Amino acid sequence: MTDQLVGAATAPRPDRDQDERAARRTAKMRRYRRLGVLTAGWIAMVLVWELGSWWFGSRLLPRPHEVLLEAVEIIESGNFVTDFTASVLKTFAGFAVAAGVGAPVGYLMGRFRYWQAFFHDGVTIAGTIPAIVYAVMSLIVFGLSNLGPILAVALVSAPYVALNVAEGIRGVDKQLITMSEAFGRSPAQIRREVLIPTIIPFVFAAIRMCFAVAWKVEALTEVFGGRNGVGFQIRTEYQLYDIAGVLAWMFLFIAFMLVIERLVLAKAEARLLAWRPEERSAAL
Amino acid sequence: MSTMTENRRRSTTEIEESTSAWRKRLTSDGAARVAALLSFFVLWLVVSAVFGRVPGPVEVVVRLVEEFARGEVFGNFASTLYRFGVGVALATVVGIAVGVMMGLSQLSRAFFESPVLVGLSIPAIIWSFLTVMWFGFGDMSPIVTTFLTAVPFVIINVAQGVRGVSRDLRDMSSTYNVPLSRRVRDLVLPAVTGYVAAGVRFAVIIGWNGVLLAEWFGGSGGVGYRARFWYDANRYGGFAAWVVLFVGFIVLLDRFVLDRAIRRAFRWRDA
Amino acid sequence: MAVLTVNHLAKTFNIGTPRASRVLDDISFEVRGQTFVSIVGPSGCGKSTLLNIISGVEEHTSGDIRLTSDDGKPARMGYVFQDPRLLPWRSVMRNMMYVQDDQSETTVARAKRYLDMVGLSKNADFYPGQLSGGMQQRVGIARAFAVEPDLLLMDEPFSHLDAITARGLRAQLQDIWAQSKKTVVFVTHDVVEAVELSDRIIVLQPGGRIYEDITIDLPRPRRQSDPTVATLQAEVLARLEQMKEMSQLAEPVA
Repeated sequence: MTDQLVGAATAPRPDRDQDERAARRTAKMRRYRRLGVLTAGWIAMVLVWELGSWWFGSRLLPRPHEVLLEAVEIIESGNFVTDFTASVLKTFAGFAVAAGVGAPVGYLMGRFRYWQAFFHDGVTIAGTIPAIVYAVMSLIVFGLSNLGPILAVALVSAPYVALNVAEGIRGVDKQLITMSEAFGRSPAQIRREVLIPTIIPFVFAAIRMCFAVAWKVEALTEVFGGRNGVGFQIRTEYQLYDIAGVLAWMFLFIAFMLVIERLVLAKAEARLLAWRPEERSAAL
Repeated sequence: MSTMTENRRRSTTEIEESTSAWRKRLTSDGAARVAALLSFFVLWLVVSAVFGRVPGPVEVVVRLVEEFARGEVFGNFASTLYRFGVGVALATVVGIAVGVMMGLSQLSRAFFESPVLVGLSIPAIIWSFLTVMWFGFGDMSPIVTTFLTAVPFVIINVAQGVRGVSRDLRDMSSTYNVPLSRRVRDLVLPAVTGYVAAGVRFAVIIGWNGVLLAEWFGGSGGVGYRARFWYDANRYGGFAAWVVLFVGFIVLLDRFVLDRAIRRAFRWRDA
Repeated sequence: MAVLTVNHLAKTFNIGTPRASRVLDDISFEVRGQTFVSIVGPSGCGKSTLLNIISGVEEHTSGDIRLTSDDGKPARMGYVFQDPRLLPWRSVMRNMMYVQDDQSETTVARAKRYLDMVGLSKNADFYPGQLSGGMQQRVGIARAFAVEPDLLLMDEPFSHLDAITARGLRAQLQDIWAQSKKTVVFVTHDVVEAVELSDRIIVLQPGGRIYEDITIDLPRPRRQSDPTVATLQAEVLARLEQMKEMSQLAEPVA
């Protein structure tokens, strides 16, 4: 018995190092292979694009490098910064309105059965209406002004916010509410200290979820009838038959919107939710 | 020790007896929905009064009846439905194929990840511009636009569903060397139907956007084309009539067709 | 100081439906002054429900319950739950202050004092997520005491903790109570714990009636290691065993 134990304690160590090295090599090879395939995906896209240019003719579909040159020009001329800022500001303004309207509605829906019944149909239908309808509607209401895109973003996003907030309220920790009531906290205190901190993560999730849709609606509304912004520039280029221009503006827009999504939204969320043990918000 | 302050509460029997019957009816769910409908109409009237360009409910109904009388409704709807149907059907087929691949294989996932991301990011308006230029007027442009806007959504939903298929079951299948086709048929597809349905539902909503946009900029009929006709003429009542028609249609479609389909697809999970 | 008077209190769940069940039946007792009262009984005998009714979280079906305080203000209640129920997004100190009616300097100082009594003054700025279960429960106890309530209700506060932590907290609870001397109503299924902590034990039997009202006359502070404590615990346990046997022989209460 003791022999076995002693044998186990003095097992030769070099084997473990060797195995670890082999494992590290395999892991590295796997990472490289993945990177290679990822690059292959990008290359495939560019190839398909080149093929399309050849097939449709470069007037109908400019070659990738033409678009790249155009994009560089746009940035150098400084136009991109002004128009991009305009579009981003309008998008966030729309979010503010959506949150301002959607959060109270969601709160009522989640808290009171009557309001749940009242708003349910409207919110569900509003969530199914295609973006183009909102875009044109906003233009009918406000004409050719900067308020149009803001309204469109608000209309598209408000249902998401309302539904998420309602979900958040419904899931609020009832035990915290009974605790507050047991200690004689007033309804206003409960709202401020329990309910609102509970729904903030949900508001963020809603914004994150519909950010992707929102900036596209914003651009769309600008295409239809904006006076500045990326969408407006896209329409101008299209009317001039400058497809390279259209695509250049689009790619720049997409790239920077993705950056905003990853950086700004994620950072703001992390700060507001610093109290969470996992430091990361629950995916919704 | 002189003044005594009391907390005394009513029992449930006391409370129940004191709420009147008509108050209960006024606060019921049905009453709430009616109140919502009425509020919506009042809001509409107010907005159309404040903003002169916005058509009121009466004008919209009048235009709606006119369009039916002119026979514009069925033909255009049929066109749009056809293009939408083809586009979404294609998106579903291709989306499932790519989604399953991405869900099963890490390498497929790496390969398709970027194209899918790009596809998700490109706005429908761009696709409709391009396809109209490439294919001219006719059915191709709306169909291709619908397909391109919807397919990324189907792909990511299906991929997510497939990846969620229990690791244990997949390991078991590979231990027993079950051939790939059988694995897909008996293990992956049944578990995935629910996610496919969810993806299709997303695709439907996005797809409508695509087809309408393409028809708006294209020239050959359809709901989008007809709506644009009214908008360009600054006769917003006509435009709103088509919006009402269209929204009514998709609401009915969503509630009576898709919702049921999704619930059926998730039967195994909720059983 | 406060007086809690309960008169013929009854509670039936799902009243009027076929699933109706009477959880409390004709409960009457009075608690006054600086005393520590435990309510014990097997699970399902309604002790948690009784506590919920006293605190106002639930409504009773019939009977009377009064809490009278004698300084002209409405009676203040403090509550300690089975789980800590701290607001996860607020620091420990803010949690302490959340349940206070005013945020004056004196109140803040008072809260800090009680936090110190449970040994957590260094953790005043921590978030609950950064504390262990036992530490969170200590905050819960300090929070309730810092309100300096006329009546302090405790619902099996140590049942979710491991044995060692629970023992430590019981000793700490006795120390705080000795310093602040509140009226405490303490619910537990653990008779041994009840004997260690209380001046008086109200025993509920299945069906929700009072079986016995036992006075515990041991001197304080009481420690588990003391043989007189252990003897009394065994006695009370035996009486409860008797009650269980009798209720099994008797017909089930509707």
